[in-house]
Amino acid sequence: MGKYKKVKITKGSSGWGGPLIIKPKEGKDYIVSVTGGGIHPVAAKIAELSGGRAFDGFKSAVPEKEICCVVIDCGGTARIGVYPMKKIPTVDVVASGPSGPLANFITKEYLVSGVKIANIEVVED
Amino acid sequence: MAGPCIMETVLKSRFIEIGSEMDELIKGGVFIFFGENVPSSLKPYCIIHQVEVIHPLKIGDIIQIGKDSAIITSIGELANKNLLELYHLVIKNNGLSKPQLPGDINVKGTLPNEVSIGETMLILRKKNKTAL
Repeated sequence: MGKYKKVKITKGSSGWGGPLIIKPKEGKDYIVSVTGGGIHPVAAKIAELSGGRAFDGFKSAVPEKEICCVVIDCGGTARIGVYPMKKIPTVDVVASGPSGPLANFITKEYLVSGVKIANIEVVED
Repeated sequence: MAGPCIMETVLKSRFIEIGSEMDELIKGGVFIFFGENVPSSLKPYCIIHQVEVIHPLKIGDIIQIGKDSAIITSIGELANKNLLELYHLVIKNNGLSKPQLPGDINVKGTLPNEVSIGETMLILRKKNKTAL
């Protein structure tokens, strides 16, 4: 058994998209919290269950290719579009759906929203 | 009766970087701002500004960029949190009285078609001083 585990993230009530299945791997194991105010509890939980490393995206930078997934608290225009557009799995703790100028890039393969701690589970194979 | 009208500064900031993809957003009346600590992935889609004065915004506040100005018509429930924590603002010139998204700040008026580094944004509030 490796140190990383597969984790399933399901949308919360009135959320959108997903479920996302993520599994960190060596060199791509950052769970980046792009939320402000430190690491969001949802990011901390995903890191804890998956074995990934929680990281505050507003404190310092991490190369995009080392990001396993990002956690955002977006009200719906910038962050919610940019990360899915870059095909980085995106977990929004706010129950937003595709919207704004980047809405076309938002797909349920890369975005799950309205996520709470209870929506995160290990699905180790 | 309202007395002389004094404007108070709610926000003052200076643009230090303009994202490479901002042009199209601005022409569509959408202005996205972040502070200097914005993750690099988001940089192309925003204006990075240095904030000198900052207070929570209210409906009726007036946004001035260069010679243009617009009045705030509605504010999403997350907009002020974004502003205070991240210097993050999403301003949309659509005049909506109900925000479509919790992060939106909707305004009505004229905003520039382009912005440049070094420009200043002011957000002002009318302060009615009651005459004695």
